[in-house]
Amino acid sequence: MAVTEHKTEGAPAVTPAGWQPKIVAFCCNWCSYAGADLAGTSRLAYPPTVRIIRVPCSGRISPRFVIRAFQRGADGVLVAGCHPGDCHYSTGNYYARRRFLLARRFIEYLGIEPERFWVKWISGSEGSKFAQVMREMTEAVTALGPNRKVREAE
Amino acid sequence: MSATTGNLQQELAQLAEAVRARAVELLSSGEVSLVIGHQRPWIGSEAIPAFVKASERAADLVVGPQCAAVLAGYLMDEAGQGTKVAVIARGCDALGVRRLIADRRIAEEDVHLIGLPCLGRIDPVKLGAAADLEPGETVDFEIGSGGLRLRRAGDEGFTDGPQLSEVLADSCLVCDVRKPEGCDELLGEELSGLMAAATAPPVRTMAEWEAEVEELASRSPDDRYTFWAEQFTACIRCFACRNGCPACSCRVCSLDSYQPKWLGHPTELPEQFMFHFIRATDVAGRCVACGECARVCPANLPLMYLNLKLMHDIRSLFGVDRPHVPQEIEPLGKFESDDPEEFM
Amino acid sequence: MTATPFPTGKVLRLPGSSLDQLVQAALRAAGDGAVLYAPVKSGETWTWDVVAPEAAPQAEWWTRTVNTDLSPKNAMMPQTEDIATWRNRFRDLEIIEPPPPPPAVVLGLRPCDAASFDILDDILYDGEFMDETYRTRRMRTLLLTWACARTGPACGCDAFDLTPAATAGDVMIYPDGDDLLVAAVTDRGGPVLDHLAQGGGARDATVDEMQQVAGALAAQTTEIGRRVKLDDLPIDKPGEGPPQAFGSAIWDDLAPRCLSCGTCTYVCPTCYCFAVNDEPRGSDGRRVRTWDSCQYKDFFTMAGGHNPRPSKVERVRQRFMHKLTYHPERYNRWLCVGCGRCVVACPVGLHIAEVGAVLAEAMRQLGPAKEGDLDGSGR
Repeated sequence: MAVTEHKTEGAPAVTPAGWQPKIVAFCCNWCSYAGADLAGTSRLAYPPTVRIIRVPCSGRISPRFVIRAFQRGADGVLVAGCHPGDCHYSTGNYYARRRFLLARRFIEYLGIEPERFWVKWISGSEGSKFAQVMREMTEAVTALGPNRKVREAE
Repeated sequence: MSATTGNLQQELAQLAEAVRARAVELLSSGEVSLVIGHQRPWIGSEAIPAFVKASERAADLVVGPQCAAVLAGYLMDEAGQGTKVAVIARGCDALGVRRLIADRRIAEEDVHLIGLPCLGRIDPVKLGAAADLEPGETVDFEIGSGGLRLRRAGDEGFTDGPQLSEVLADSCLVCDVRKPEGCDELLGEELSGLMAAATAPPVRTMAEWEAEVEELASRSPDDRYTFWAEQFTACIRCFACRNGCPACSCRVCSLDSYQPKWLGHPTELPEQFMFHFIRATDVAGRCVACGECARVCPANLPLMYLNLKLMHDIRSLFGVDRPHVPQEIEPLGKFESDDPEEFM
Repeated sequence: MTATPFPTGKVLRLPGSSLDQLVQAALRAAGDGAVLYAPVKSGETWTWDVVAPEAAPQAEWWTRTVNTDLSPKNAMMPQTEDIATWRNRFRDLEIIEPPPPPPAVVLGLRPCDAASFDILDDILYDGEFMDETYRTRRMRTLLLTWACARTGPACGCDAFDLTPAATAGDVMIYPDGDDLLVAAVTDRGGPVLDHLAQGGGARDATVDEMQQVAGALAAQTTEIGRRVKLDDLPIDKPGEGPPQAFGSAIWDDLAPRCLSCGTCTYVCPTCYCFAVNDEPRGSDGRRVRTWDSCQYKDFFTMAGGHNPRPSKVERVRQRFMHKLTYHPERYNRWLCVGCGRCVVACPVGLHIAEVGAVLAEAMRQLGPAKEGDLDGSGR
């Protein structure tokens, strides 16, 4: 099998001017998605970089979704769920907490910059937190440039 | 691991006899219909899996550091056919079987685990380097008082070789179950030299082995990525690691799934990463550290460094003392309300 | 299945230190834009890939190393190969075929590996199963075969009617001390010698000289060759009923230890099964061919879910009967060159040397097929 240079796969080596990252956010329906919704209805401004995927619970999210997002062109990935103790399904986010503690360290271990993968608890009433997280994450990922690692060729 | 009490080579021969006798007993009484162990290979130095159904074939069974494959996975096909299956189990085999039982993949009552004290498995790559052997070379071993003794194909007698500890597989150096745990019976308890070697503290601890991942983890993200990219580029996606792993027991593996297709067919780097990522995270918390994945890999990938990282974090984050030993409920199958919360 | 005789044409003697001249001569002969495949290390594995000529191994690599871990099969049949990509816009479907592969030179195949392409040609080069991309690559690739100064512990070419100096490929390279004796085998190999002669580093040598060296190399035998005798493996005539050993109990004994991992297939130079899959991405996508293995549990699972080879017994039997009886019946050649990679790579020692020996013995004991004996079981 051909030995490929990881620097040449995926996005171009030079960051085009005005480039904005694509951030994929897995948001649980009951808390973080509602929080995102609230940010919208409250007209809180945050960069238009995020694509939200709604799931019933953060416990549904498998770590492989994160890698899949990076494969398909995401520059940053957010996993957002209810605060521990507030899960709509009682325990889903407790399992997610353990799972993503490990997965985040593991993804970092494989060489993806830690600033590209965030895990946050955002409740349904925390519209401003959602906007804040998106602003901070956009800034951090923009500074890193497009993600080339594990990204599929166009 | 030199023999300070007893003569290890003699004891291994006695252990082999005990194993064969027990196999004959179990088979002829009808208590089991199959005994899984190891036998001499047709060529090469590693003993291969043996499936003994008739008492006359029990004489084929061998024991010792030349025994290679972890046998647990075979129970997925062989157990549950209506009769009991016996496994001549080293510590890793026993852990693998307990893993399958804990995962409800096989029933405890379908298996009869016969434990034996183990000196560890010789890693042919390490042996090849230490004794200047080529892949596939046929070599016989003896445990001498000063270390291994080797007889190459065509030679008359044995010559001195390296110390056993120099050529043991990485997973054997840290093994704390060389006297197997959780077996239905244990053979060889009267063999004092073997038992002493099996119960002596391992050459290094599992935690020390896990800590090797710290070196890799301390490099820059780009360096880490380059390291894994090089390794995964050499991966030929044969799935031997998955097929040999006792923790990989799903009847339908998500890596084979077409809908949804988690793993594309092209052997390109993004897919290579996804394969190893999915496998490592799916067995996380359930890996028994047998090292079979690394052993079977035709490309010699350092696969245990994936599992070790997860085990290391499980140990430190969740306070699990022996992450490689099957629990009532494994670490990712439960939670504590005060689990740590980094970066959340 | 008799061996091809040694070449008889022009012979050149080249110092091993001038190997690069042979490489350059071959690249010139192959044509504009020709690329060089040579042994290369990927991780801990020796495989074959396109390398810059300066990065090819030195001559002493071939003295030191028996063979690569993976076969050079990917030079003719890459593990992953695009068949086409498509871009689908409203009322505008574009199907894009990949560019044709460039001409190529493969440097330093062992005779077993070079012979494997002659065997793959049986199926893929022409005839009813002709494979276009294989054929295209085959037609524009020059094979430089490097005879073996020594054999390895897992080598077994002589069990399969080859030798460590079997004539195969387009150009033969015979090691003779620090020198290399180079001879053309095919018409395409001739220009390589012509260009090499102009390089200045080579001098003429005689056919006798070359055949003497070649003869000595070819006379080497292997342990597997001494232990596995397939000559008297009675091959049933095709069309006269199923092969004799199909119903034998040997498969029940051999199969249980198989892991169905497919490693044997992937390291083998003569295995050629593949899968074709689509990788859609929204409205776009590509159709990709990848290697596949008949040892995988789902290899033969069909739409509807039926799997005619549900257990390891059927799959292991299939592999070895294909290589040892079905292919020889049809094409008068073993579907194996005795390279020994499966012997080394199989994690549980289930390889063609042992199976060949067991099968040959079983066939000897079974004797000729009896009339009405539909599965060779003797019943």
